[in-house]
Amino acid sequence: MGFNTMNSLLKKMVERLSDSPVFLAYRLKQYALRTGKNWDAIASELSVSPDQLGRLALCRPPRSETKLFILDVHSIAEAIPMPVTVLANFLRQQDMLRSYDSDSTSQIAARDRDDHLE
Amino acid sequence: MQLTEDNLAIIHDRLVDQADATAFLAAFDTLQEMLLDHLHRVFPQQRTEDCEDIVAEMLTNYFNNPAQFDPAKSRLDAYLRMAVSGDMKNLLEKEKRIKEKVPFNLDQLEENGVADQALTRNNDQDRFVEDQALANALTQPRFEALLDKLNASDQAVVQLMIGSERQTARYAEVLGIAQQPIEEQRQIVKRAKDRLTKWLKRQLMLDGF
Repeated sequence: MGFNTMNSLLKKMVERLSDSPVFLAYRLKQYALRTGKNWDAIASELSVSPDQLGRLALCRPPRSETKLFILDVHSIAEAIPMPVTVLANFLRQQDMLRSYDSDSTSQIAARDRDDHLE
Repeated sequence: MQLTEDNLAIIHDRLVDQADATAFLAAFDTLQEMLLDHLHRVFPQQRTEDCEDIVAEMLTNYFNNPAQFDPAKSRLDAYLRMAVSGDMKNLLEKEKRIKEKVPFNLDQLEENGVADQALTRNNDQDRFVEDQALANALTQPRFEALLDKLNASDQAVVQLMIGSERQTARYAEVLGIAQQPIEEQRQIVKRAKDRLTKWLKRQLMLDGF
């Protein structure tokens, strides 16, 4: 993900955790792959340092139910630290894109199935 | 956070509780320095990078499966210190075995592609295990036995790879393609090296290393 400017132990942790959906490291990796942005660029977009982004990667994704989402985002933003609204917007945007991808895939599969039946 | 028994118990409980969004970060903040200090103190000659690799691997394993630690049996800090010490000892023993058994420089082999990405590697630990196994497998008699299975030109290519030869012209010569355009030579040589690298690894795997 091109995170050469990060604390080396933190970097090793992020690398190891980025394949597990249990961690935000996984979502950040997916975002980097989707957008072609490197670690420093994503950090800049979220108004944090590369190390702070590394700390964010070690957190668990917030729970999806609205009240719990707000609670978790506040707790994460406080721990990093980083602006709550920036984090909330970023995570919501990722959720929307993921569900859009998932819907698109389902629709294409359904269309292929219909075409096949016709 | 202080490393008191109560605080360590809280850290562990937070990791086990799957709803806590910042449990891993809190555990990392609390444990990483203690574990690195421990390794530096017990293994003062060891490189920082090796210590960090071991701490990262241990914490990753623990974060992914916190239930592996049983609070009834020991304190978390003692358990993790013992685990990283054990991993470092294993690393040192493996490095020692590599030095004793490998007739060639493994780094040199890697440069030439023998330890390439032909086999899927799940993580650094797998890679280390694989390289270690490759190193153990590459004793001189075994390597010579493998070479005997190849035709003369392939044998020559492997010998050039082992000798760190980098010039395409030398490979082109032994492959009998020296008269072809240089770009074609490069492609043919690359294919030959990739093919032999994969073949060599496959043979070593089949031999059960």
